[in-house]
Amino acid sequence: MKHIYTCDQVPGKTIAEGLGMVRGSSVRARHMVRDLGAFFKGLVGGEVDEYTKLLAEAREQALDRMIDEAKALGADAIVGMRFCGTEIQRGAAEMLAYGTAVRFEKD
Amino acid sequence: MTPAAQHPSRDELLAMAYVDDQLDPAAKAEFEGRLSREEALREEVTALRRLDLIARTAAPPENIDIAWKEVDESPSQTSLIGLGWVATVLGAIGMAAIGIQLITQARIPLWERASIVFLVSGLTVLFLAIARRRWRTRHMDPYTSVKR
Repeated sequence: MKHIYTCDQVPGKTIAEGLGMVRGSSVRARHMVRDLGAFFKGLVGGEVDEYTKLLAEAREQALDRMIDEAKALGADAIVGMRFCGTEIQRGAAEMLAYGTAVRFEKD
Repeated sequence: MTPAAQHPSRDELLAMAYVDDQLDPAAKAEFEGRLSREEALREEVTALRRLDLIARTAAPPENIDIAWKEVDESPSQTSLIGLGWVATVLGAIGMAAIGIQLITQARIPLWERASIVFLVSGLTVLFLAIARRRWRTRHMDPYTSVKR
């Protein structure tokens, strides 16, 4: 199960069965030394790469958890995949990845 | 993987199949049972997941990455950062010493002094316990290799 689509229909494929929603979430933080670096970068402007990395880590972990859930259902793919983020704690990133696990008709 | 990468062991092959979701349900359940008992196997799976992540998020370096690296590695920048940290750590040690001095010299009842000492040491122990947990499991977290 390696295929994730943001569209609801996949050209050339027919969805035979919807297996329900799959999701994965992750909340991650950086250690205080990195937070201190990010604070100073916030004062001078430009990219705060500490937080770019933090968000990317949370995104990839949420994605993997969603994929694991789809694999457990025996899905061929996930369609209509979306990300959303929120703030639970200052300096932490929460990412939620969700979509619909489907099985395609056999070719 | 072992140095003789052309001859991966049976466990390495199993770990690859597990990460690629190629094991049948019975073999997968057996492998997951072994994962809960064998640390070496968990490390192998983590290393493979890390590689998978690097491949998935790989992108050519941007000009700004090269420029940042050059600045970060320049002697003037490393000296400034080092100097900043030494001063900060010395200041923190000094502040801790001032705090201890204020508590010991304050004209407050013994039980109030004891409460402050218990609170500060309790919070320190809790922090150290959480830090120890992170330190001991960090190598099992493949997401630390994600850059952006």
